[in-house]
Amino acid sequence: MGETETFEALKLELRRGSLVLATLARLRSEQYGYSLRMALAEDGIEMEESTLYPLLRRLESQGLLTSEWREEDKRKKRFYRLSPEGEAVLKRLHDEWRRISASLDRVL
Amino acid sequence: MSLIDRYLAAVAAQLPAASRDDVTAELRDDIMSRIEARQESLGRDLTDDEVEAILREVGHPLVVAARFGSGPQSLVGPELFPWWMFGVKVGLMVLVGVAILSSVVKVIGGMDFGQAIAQGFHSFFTGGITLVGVATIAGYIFERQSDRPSFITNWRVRDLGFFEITRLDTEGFDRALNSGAGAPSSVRAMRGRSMSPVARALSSAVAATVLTAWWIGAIRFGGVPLDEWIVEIAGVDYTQAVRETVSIIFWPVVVYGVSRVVFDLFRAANPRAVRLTAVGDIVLAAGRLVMFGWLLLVSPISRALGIVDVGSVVERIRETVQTGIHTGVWSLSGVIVLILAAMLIDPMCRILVCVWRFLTGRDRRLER
Repeated sequence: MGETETFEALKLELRRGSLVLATLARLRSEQYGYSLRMALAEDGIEMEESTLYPLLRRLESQGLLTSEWREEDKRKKRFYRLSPEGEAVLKRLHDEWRRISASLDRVL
Repeated sequence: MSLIDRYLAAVAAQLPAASRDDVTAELRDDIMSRIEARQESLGRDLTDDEVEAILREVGHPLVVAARFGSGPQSLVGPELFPWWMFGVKVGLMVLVGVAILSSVVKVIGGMDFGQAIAQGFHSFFTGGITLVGVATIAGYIFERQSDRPSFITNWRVRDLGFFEITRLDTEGFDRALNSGAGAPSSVRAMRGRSMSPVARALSSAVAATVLTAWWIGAIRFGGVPLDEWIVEIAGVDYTQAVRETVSIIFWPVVVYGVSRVVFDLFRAANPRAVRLTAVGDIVLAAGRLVMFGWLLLVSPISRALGIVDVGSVVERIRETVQTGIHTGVWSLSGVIVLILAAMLIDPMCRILVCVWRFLTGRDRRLER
């Protein structure tokens, strides 16, 4: 494996854990799948559909998100939002993220 | 049917019925939103090729549907894979040993050396493929259980010597057969004692699996099915007797083999259930005792050997040993009787030991 491939594989590993945090943070305001993906892309976090939608379902089954089907622009869409439990978990994850970031800053 | 419908139908076909409509409705909305965004940027409708390119970006239906699955995404996951690999390695080592032994026996029995080696290789490869398949099915089942078997989570340092068997050298075999290898010096001092119950149970399960697979014909050592063997010893043809015997005991042996594997796995998972494992051991040993006794006294093989009762067994053994010692010529049929009689000793001793364990509730091997 060349240096570029190694870097890409490690980068993928590094950002995998941050996707949950970014998704939860973006869902402090209500979004449907496509709009959420676009919003994350604008923030510099690209996510494929086959990664995002299963993640949303998992977070919902864990009670961190709520969802409802509604019609918008003549199409039925599923809107997601952070649940009260999700807000509490997001806060704890955010604190953990800051702690890890501070530790890494010291190391790097 | 439009391209999008066809794509979503392919995704839906891979999903469980309960979530099918929900997932495809959400995917449809996402795909339509993508298409509308692209149309808006181009200022025109998309061609079929451009729609297909978007669907390709979303991913192959098999991959997309698999991501929505609730279970593990692999046959054997990273936690179980080392166990799978170890089991396969040990199984392959047993297969190599049996294939070599089988080839040597055939060469001694007069088969052409090249043919015996070729059959040995054939046995090893077909057996190896079966072994990998069986191990993968077992891994698949374990992977989908909510709890891991306790021998995976509650391992003990004194059992680790067994895992050195895959070093493939004398020291590894020595440590595997004795307990305490790889442990601190206080535990290593126990070397020379017998294998721990867990290590013994696991190795017994592997051996029983291979032997049962051989018995039912899933693995062939020598490429000839068991019921087609031609057995001729010292000019006497025992083929008919062996075939009749095999056909009578085929299912009892299968039941014994499967029970042995299940019991060994239970024993490995619950090494401290002394009384329960003692009962299992007694039942299995009694099964072996009945089977060996039948082989020696009642089976078609025993009739072919001229055995009619216990007295004739004693007489044949006495005669064989006496002649062998005085003339140096050992009658093969007499040696077979001797071996069959000796095979009765192990289950008898096992029953006595296990009755003691059952009565006292103590297994001295667990106290080391």
